[in-house]
Amino acid sequence: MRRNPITALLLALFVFELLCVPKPKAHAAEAEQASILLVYDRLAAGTAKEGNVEAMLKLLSAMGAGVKLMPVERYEPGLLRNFERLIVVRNSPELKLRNEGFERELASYSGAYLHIGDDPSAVIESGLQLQISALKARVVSLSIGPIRQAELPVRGMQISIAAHYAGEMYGYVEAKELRQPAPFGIKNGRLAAVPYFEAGAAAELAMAYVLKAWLGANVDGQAYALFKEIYPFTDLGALQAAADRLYDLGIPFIYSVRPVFANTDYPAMQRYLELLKYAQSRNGAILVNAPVISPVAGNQEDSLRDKMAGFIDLLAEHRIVPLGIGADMDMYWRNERNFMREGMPFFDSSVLFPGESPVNVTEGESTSFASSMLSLRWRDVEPLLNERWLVEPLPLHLAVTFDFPEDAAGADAVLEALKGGWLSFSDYKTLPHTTKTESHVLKSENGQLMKDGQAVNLNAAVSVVSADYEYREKEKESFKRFFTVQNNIYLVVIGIALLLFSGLFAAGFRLYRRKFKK
Amino acid sequence: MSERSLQPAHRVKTFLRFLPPSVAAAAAAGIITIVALFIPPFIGIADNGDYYRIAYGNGLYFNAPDYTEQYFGYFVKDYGIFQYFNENAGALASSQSLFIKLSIVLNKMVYSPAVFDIRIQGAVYVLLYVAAIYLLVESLTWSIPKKQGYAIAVIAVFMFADTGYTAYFNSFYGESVVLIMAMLVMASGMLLYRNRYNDYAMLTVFVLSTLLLTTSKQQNAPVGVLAAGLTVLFVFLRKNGMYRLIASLSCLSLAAAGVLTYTLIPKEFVNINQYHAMTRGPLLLTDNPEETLKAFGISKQYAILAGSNYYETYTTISVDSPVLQEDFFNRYGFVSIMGYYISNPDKAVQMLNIAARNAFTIRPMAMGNFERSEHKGFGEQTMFFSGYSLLKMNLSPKTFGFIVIWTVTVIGLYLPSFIAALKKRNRRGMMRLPLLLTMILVGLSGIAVSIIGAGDADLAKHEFLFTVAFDLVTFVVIADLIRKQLWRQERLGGG
Repeated sequence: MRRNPITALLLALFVFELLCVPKPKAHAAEAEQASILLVYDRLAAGTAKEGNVEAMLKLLSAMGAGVKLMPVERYEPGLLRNFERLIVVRNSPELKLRNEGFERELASYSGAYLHIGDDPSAVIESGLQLQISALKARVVSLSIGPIRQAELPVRGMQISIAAHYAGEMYGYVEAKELRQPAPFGIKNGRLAAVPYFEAGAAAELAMAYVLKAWLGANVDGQAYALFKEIYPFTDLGALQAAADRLYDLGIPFIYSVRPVFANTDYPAMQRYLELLKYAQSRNGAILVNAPVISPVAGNQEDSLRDKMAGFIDLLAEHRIVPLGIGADMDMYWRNERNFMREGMPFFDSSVLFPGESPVNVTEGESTSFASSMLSLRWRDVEPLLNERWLVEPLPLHLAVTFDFPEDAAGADAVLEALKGGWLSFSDYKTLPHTTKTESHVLKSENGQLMKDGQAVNLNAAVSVVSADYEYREKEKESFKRFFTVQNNIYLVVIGIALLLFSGLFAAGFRLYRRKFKK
Repeated sequence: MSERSLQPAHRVKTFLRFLPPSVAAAAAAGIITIVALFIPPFIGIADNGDYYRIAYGNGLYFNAPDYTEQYFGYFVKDYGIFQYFNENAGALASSQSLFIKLSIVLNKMVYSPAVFDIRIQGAVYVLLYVAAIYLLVESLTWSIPKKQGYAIAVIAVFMFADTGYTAYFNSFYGESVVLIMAMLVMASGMLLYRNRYNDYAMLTVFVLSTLLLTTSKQQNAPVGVLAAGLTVLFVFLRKNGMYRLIASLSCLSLAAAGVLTYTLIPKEFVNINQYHAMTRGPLLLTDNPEETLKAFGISKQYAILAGSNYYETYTTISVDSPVLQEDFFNRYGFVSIMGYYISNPDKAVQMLNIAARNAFTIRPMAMGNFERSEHKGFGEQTMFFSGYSLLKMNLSPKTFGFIVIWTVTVIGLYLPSFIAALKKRNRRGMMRLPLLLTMILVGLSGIAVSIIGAGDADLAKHEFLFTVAFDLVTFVVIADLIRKQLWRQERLGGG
C-alpha cells in the first residue's frame, strides 16, 4: 500500500506530544524562642474588642519582648512550662475556655501571669482578690501617667470593671454611672489583671504602664517624631524644607525611608541619597522602611536578604547610617515571604506601624529587638496631650508617626502642630542602635553616628547631582565611516537599478501591447 | 450482504463518506480537549492576579484559604459563589462575563449553588470551540477531494487542539473568548466567501462573533473598526435590498462597538498595565528617562522606576499607592504614550522587535497548568498535546521583520486571485484577500495596543490576539496550498 508522504509527515507531527517530570521546590522557616505566651479565646472580630490582641502584640514588641501567640484551642499540654510569662486575653467570657488541659496547667502555673478581660481564672481571683462586674456606660474616661480623663470609646456600651481587688492600682477609669473610680489595671506580685481593654491610643498607653510594671522594665520612655511614606519620588525640596524647619524648631526627627533595589546609580537615586544625608545632618535619623511585598509575585526567587543588605550598604557608602527598620504590623506578623528572617536580621531596632484596620493574626511568634518603640499616629496622640506630658516619663519609647505630607500646606500644618504641642521629642540617635551587614557596621552611640568604628562626619549641604549620566552603554561601533560610505554607494546603485528596471518594464509592456493587444 | 461490503477498505470508505473532514477535525479536537481538561490531572491556567476583577465582578470569590499562595503556580478549579450582596458586581464590562454568567447558571443547575467548578465554563467553551473548528475546516474542505480534506483536518487538529490554546478554557482569562470568536470570524468570513451556507446565517455569525471578540477585552477595540471596514464589502455580496440594509447596519454596529470599547479604555486602563506602559515602555527604551518623564510632565525622580515590573517580589512602592496615582498615573494615558511612539519611531521599531520575540508564544510561560493537589512543581506546565505550540515557540524567527515578510507573502499569494476577481467584477471572489488582510491587521493591532498599553510586560499573554490571527491566516494559507487554490480564482458554491 502506498502512503502519501504529506500524510505521513502530518501524522508524525503528533509524535511531538511529550510528557515531562516536575521538579518540586520547598523551603522551611524557623522561629526563635519567645519568652511570653499570649493565649486568647477569640479575636472578637466585628466587636468592640476587635484589635485588642493585636494591640497587645504591638505593645509587647515595643517593649522588646518576644511573644508566642495562639488561640486557646490550639494549646498543647506542657507548653506552658517553656514560658516564664503568660498573658490570657478573654474576649468572650460568656463562652467556656475550650481547652481543659490548659485550664489545669494554668491552675498550677507559677510564672508571671497577666489576665485581660472578664472571667478571670481562680489563680487571679484569689491572688488579686478580684471581683469583676459589668458596667453599662456610654462614656468612660481614663487617667494614667500624663493622660487625664481621656475618653475611651465604649463601642459595646458595656465594660467590665474591678468591683473588688487587692494590689497596686494602675490608672483608673471613671464614668457617670460609677460611684468611685475603678482601676484600669491591678498588679500584685507576679499576677496582674486588666478587666477591660479595647485597642486605642489611650488604652494602649495605659496598658503600657501595667506591662512595664508586670515585666519589671526599667525604661523612662521618650517620644520621637517619625515621618514615613518617604519615597525617592517624594518632593525632595519639601523633604529638605521640612528637615530645615524641624531643625530650626529644635525637633529631632526620624525619616523612615523606602528602600530602592534597582537603578541605584541613576542621578534620581543619587539626589535621594544626598537628601537623606542632608536630613541626617539636620538632626534627623534614618530608618529603612520595609519594602512592599507584591501579593502576586509568583515564583520569583529574589533574595530579600541580599536586596536589603545591598540597600543598607548603599546608604553606608553615602555616609547615611540607618538605625533600624520600620515595618507595617501586618507584614511583620504575617511574616510574608519570611520577612522576619530575610528582611530584619540586619537591625537590632525596629518600629512596627499600625495599619488602618486590625490584622487579626491568629497565630505566630515574634522576635525581640534590643530597641523598639510603640508607634501611634499623631492624630491619635494629639487629643491626649496636656502639660503633664512635658514632665511625666512615658512607660516606653513612643514613635509619633506622620505620613509625610504630599503638599506644602500639609507640611506647614504638621510643623505648626509640632511647634505648639505638649510633646517634647527626643533624638533617636541618643539610643544605642546597631545595623550590620557583611560589609558594614553602622551604629549610634550617645548621639554620634558611627560607620565601621569611625564617627560619621555630618555635612549640612546638598551636593548637586549631575544629570549628565549615561543610562545605557553605547554599542561599540567599528568601521562606522566605512559602512556609511558603503550604504550611500548601495543607495545610488539600487536607485539606478530601479530606474533602469522601470524603463525596461515600460518598454517591455509597450512591446507586449503592440504584439498582443492589436 | 455482498462479499465486497465486508472488505476493510470499503468499510473505511463508507465510514469516511459519513465523516467529512470538518466533522472529523471537530470530533478529534473535541476529544483531545476533553481528555486534557476534564480527565485527571485537570489542566487549566494559574491566576496571575488578573482573576480578581472578572471573578468578583461576576459574583464569584476565591474560597481557597491558600489562594494567593497559588498565584502563578497552580490552577484553581473551585470558586465560591456569592450568596449575598456582591459589592464588586459590574466591575468590568466584558463579553467574557456573558460566558461566565451562563456557566454559573449551569453550575447551579448541575453541580452546586455555592461552589463554582470552572470546568463547567470549560465545557461551555469546548462546545463553542468544537463548533468553530467545524466551521473553519468546513470552509476550507467543502467540495474538495477527501484526501486533501483530511490533510487539512489533521493540520487543524494539530494546530488548534494544542493545550497551549485549550488550557485557557479552564481559566478566567479573556483569551478563551478571543480564540473562539477569532476563529468564528475567520470561519464565517471564509464560508461567506465560498458561498457554502446561507449568507444571512453566516453574516449573523460573523457579526456576533466580531462583536463578542471586540468587547471581550479593552485592547480589542480596533477589531470592531477593522471588521467594519471588511463588512462594507459584504454589503455588495447580494443585490437584495433587505440584505444590504442588514449588512449596512452590521457594519455600523461593529464600528460603534469598536469605538465604544475604545472609549472605555481610559476608565479600565488598570494600574498594572498603566504602570508597565511607562516603566516597560518609554522609560525602558529611552536614552534619558528624566527627559522622557519631563515630556510627560512627571517628576524626574520617577526615572528610578525605569524597567521595573509590577511582578517583582520586593518593590519600593505599591502600584496601588495614592502617591503613584497622583503624581504618576494621572500624568499619562494611552493617547500620550501612543504620541510618544509616533514621535519616536526608532523607539517604536525597537519595541516592535521586542514584541516580536513573544509574538509566537501561545502559552504564557509564567503560569502553571496543574492543580496544587497534583503535587507538581510550582508553575509546572503540561506537555500534553503541545507539539504545535512548542514548535511555534522554538522555530519561529522572532523578529518584526519576519512578521512583515509573512504579511507581504500572504498578500502576494492572494493578490492574483483578488485582481482576477476584481477584473471579473466577482464581488464574492474578491473577499478572500480583504478577509485575510483584516485578520492580519487585527493581529498587528493586538501587538500595537499591547506595547502602548503595557510596554513589554506580559507580552506573551497580551499578544494572544496576534498569535491567534497568525495561526488562522497561516492555516488558511496552508489549506489553500493543499487544495491548490492559492493563486487561482476558485469556483464558488451556490449556497
